[in-house]
Amino acid sequence: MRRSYLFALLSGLLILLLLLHLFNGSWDWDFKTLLKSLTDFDISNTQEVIFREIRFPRTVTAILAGAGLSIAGLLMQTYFNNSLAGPSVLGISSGSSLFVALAVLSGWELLNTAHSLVFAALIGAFLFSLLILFFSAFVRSAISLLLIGMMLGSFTSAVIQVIQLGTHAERLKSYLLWGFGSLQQNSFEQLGLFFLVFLLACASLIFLIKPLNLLVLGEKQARILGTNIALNRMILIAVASVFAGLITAYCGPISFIGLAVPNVVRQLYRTKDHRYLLLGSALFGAITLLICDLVIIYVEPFLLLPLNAITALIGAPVVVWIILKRF
Amino acid sequence: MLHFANAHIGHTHLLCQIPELELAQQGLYSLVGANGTGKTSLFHSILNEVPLLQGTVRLEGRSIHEMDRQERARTLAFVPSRFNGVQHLKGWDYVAMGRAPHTNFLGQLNPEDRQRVDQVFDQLTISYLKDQDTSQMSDGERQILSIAQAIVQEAPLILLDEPTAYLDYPNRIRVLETLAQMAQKENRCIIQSTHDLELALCYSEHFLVLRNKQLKLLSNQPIPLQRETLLQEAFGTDFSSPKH
Repeated sequence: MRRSYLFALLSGLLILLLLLHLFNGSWDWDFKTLLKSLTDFDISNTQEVIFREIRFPRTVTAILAGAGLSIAGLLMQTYFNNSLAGPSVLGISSGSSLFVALAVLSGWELLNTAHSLVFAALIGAFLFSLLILFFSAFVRSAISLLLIGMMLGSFTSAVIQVIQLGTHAERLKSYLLWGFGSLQQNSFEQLGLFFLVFLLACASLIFLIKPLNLLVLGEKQARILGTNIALNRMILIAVASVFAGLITAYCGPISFIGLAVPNVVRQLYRTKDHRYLLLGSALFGAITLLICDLVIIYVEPFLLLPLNAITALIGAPVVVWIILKRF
Repeated sequence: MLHFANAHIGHTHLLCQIPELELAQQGLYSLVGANGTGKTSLFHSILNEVPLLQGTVRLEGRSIHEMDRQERARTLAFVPSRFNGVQHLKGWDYVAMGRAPHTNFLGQLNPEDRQRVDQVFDQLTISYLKDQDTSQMSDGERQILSIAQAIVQEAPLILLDEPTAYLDYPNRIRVLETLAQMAQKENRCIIQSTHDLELALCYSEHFLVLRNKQLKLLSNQPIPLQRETLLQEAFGTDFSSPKH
């Protein structure tokens, strides 16, 4: 009962925020224009251009990025059995940042197109996930693993700073802007690939539900109950890397969402069943990022807030709350 | 039922060598031996967590290590010495995880699975634990739940790693009574490793003694095993037993 109510409540909230975000401040616009801009686009119509190229991509990006980061966070938290794990904490996003920085700042023109940026971010995320996995084989303590993740983050940002020294000012500017995190860098045309990869990653989650539910008891017991840990570990890391890398490529490194959302969802749902936790994290993650972006939109006339500042302002207190609750 | 053939057990070096041993009868077996003799390694080898150095272990005629994962999970259950509980994981859901080897890739429980889980709660008279959070139970309650999970797994062989180590005296008796009953009623082979020799002498039909890299089978019935005999077998002649 509680779960159905929660699902209805979160869905309702998501739809409300979606509309608010999509039509912000201009309620005289209607769905007909929106539909027409998506299906039968007329480039001379300003309204349609704004809808198609600015509003619609931004809303869709907010929903996908919020949902994806939260799912990636949940996967890592369950696998490492650590509620403070997440793509940004364990250095997965740092990996993406490093490879994007290499691509953007090196000025290697071949690497500078949008698709190669995505590719670079995915490779970075996957390599750093494997690195964390490698370390996790040696350090059993959750705290040590988090510290290693933080060190990976510091190390990569130092490397990036060194690369920045010898870079052309224009390229540096575009990299720094990317680093603030933003939901506005996607055009309508780029959404296609983003959406497709996102859907594929979501589809593969079906195979992870049962292993995730058993992993709650730890790797050994899950294996004894018949789980193929080696295979599922690879699927899990690949899926989490795809989510984290994809979103980092399109929106820049967004911190705290992946860490905070699954914790709130666990408290809301009070279950360890990952059918509900995955769905809840996706819904609540989308809601959270829509709210963050709405704040940016509303204060835009007065000051230009970077997305990463907002997620940290909301996320950091949540994380402190989690720590206070647990220890 | 469980059959060792020239099984060499150990991680890198040999801890125990079992030329030929058959646990033919069902019942509660107690695995005893000094610290570091390889009780846990023996369990891990049977569970295929650590491969055998040599030889085979068969269960009902089939080599445990050649079965696939799901099949092995249906044949073998393992209860760790301590389950610390997981926040938001309810007692019923924890026990139902034992059905995992029998469910499809989504882990969906069918009505028979649910019925089996409910039945175990009734059988062990712990229905009040169904909706409780496992992180808020006592060690004794969690240990009984772990055993319940192993029971719904419906494996003919259950291994328990020191199931009474963290429990108080009444809970130890409760756990051992439950195990002895399960072994009797459901025709299972249950092996517990333990240091609690006195209680083991009261409840288990057979003893497996690990000493000097050898595994020896001793019977506690129909003629009860002497406490002194067991102590000598397990710890040697130079061992001085406590004064009364």
